Amino acid sequence: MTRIVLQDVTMIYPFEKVSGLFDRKQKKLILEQQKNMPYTSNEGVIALQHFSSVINDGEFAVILGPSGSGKSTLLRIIAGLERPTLGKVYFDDEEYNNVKPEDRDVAMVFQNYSLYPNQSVYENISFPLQVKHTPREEIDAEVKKICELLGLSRKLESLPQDLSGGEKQRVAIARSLIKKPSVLLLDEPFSNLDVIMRRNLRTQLKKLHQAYHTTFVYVTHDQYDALSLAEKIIILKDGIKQMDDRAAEVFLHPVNRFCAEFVSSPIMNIFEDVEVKKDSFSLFGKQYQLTPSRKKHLGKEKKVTVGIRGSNIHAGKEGIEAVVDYTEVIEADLIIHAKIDDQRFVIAEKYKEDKETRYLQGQKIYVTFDEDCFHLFDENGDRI
Amino acid sequence: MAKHKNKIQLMKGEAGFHYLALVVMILLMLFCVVPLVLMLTVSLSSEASLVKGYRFIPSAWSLDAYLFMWAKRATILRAYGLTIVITIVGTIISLIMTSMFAYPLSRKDFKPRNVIAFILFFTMLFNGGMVASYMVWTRLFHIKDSLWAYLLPGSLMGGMNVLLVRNYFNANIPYSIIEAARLDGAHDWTIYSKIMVPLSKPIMITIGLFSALGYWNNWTAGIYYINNPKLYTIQVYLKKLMDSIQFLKTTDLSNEAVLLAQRSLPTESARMAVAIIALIPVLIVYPFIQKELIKGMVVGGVKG
Repeated sequence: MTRIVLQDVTMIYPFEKVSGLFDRKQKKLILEQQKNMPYTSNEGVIALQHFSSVINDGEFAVILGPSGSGKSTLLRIIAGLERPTLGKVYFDDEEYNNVKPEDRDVAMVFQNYSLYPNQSVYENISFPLQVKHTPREEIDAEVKKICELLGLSRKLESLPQDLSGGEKQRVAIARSLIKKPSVLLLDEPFSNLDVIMRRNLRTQLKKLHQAYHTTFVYVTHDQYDALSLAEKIIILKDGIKQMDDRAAEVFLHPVNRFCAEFVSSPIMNIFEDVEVKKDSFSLFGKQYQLTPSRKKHLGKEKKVTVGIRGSNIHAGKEGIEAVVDYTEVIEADLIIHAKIDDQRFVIAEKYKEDKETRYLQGQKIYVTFDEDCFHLFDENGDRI
Repeated sequence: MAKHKNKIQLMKGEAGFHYLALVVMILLMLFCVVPLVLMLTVSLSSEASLVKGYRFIPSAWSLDAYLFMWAKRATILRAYGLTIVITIVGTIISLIMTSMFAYPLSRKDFKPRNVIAFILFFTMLFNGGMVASYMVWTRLFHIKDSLWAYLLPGSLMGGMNVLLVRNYFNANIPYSIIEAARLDGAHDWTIYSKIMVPLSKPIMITIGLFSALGYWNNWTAGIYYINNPKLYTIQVYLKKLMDSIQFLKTTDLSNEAVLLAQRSLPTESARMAVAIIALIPVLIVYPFIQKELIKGMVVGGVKG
């Protein structure tokens, strides 16, 4: 177990050098592409900007963000595969910037499994112990133990090419855990797997975290993975940290509009340019009171962006009149796409196959909003 | 109808290309095979019949050349054994050196790799020349009349082979495997020996074969550096034999001893017989590694 402290970490990837006399067009194109990245400096593309965070002993931290947000870069910096351009990385108060990956006592599960194709499952899993010259009996016992835990006991002689995607990922997890690392890093490990396999492996991973008490750092762009696994969620966008808090807090009190929309299961409805009058704001002709703290934060601002999750809007016999557009069933939820005037929004209800939950296109319904569950954002997208 | 016509025309074009390719391939094959067949038949011809020139079907068959070789079997077997030892040892050393050189050049995190690669590839285009090399090897390394003369100069490691192996590493072994191994606690030697080399079998076989052929056919090293007949390899022996025959042919025939020797020697057929004997191991080994050789050449050349 290790406490990881990241202090003001910045990562700049130098612009790719395009040399040679030929392909001038391609050279121009590459340079333009690089310059058009969200953040660039004279030195190159900024993948991570002044990132600071603390991941505690034995914590399950999830780094969440869209593609290109710098989450894999952050993981690689923790692993030692990349050296930050600026900032410090501490493992248990000891600076680790110049410590090689092989000397860090970290393990990593890669998105593409990265198993050794020439070695059997047994050899793959036992590789980290063989490298440490662990006695053979001990290796056998450890491999047996972890394979039983991950259901790989019958596959020990197989080569990676003979395994399914889920089995390969379990071998990768077993290989990374067998040396009992202080930190286990997981780089989108389930993104190549089907839904059922993901669900099973999520459960197994949670159990493994409880069994090994290792610090887990998990990178994903999938909010389901994040919310179901994380004790702490770090949200990144364009290399900048947006939020760093407990999973429940990220869900209940997103600090800005990006976080609210990104962690939005059920879907977060956003209503822009909602007018504020005195102590209240008006939505679809109905007034909703502002709390004193919100009012203070708002100051002289006359318009806000209002967010509310689909699960906090209810369809019933009373309320504001709306028209059903279409419905869809996603897992256990019935998602009703409706509109009031031309404003579209989504209602999420628990799916029940009875008359009341059958909504037809063009059908009139009456909706109410949970007043306590409104999220208000100012013009910069920050939470009010 | 028009479509049907087009189809027939296309097929005709394809067939034409196939026939052309077939003719070209047959010609190429004949260019390779005819000298070998001729070599075999000449070695089995009587010396007298060769005066009129080489023939595919000899006018008089004879085993004299092989009997002459049999008489010299002690020397030939020694040369053979030496060639085999040098080929095996040289190939192993060459494979180790080449792959060990290529591994750091394939690593993105090895910063001086471009400078080293430049120095290496520079030697592919320019070198010190024969005289300078000879002086360095003989005066600095003192390899004259030793087995090192066959192993070291020019054939230990080639820039082209390093380039092929480096390209194979880059194109066929995902970099994340190296990263995974590093995170598993493996240092460079373990990564090289347990992951990179076992995963590079096709290119290793290709380079091994290039190298082995290079060692097997190497006669220049023997001519430059070897004076001791006990250290002749089969190719050097063949070269010396040819030179001796040439010497006998061009020497004044009034010398009685030379005349006698010339009459009793199967000159032309003996040359060919030695060449056939030198070729046998290559002919035996090649079919077994042909597939891997082609695979290695293709995958090694995929990416520059």
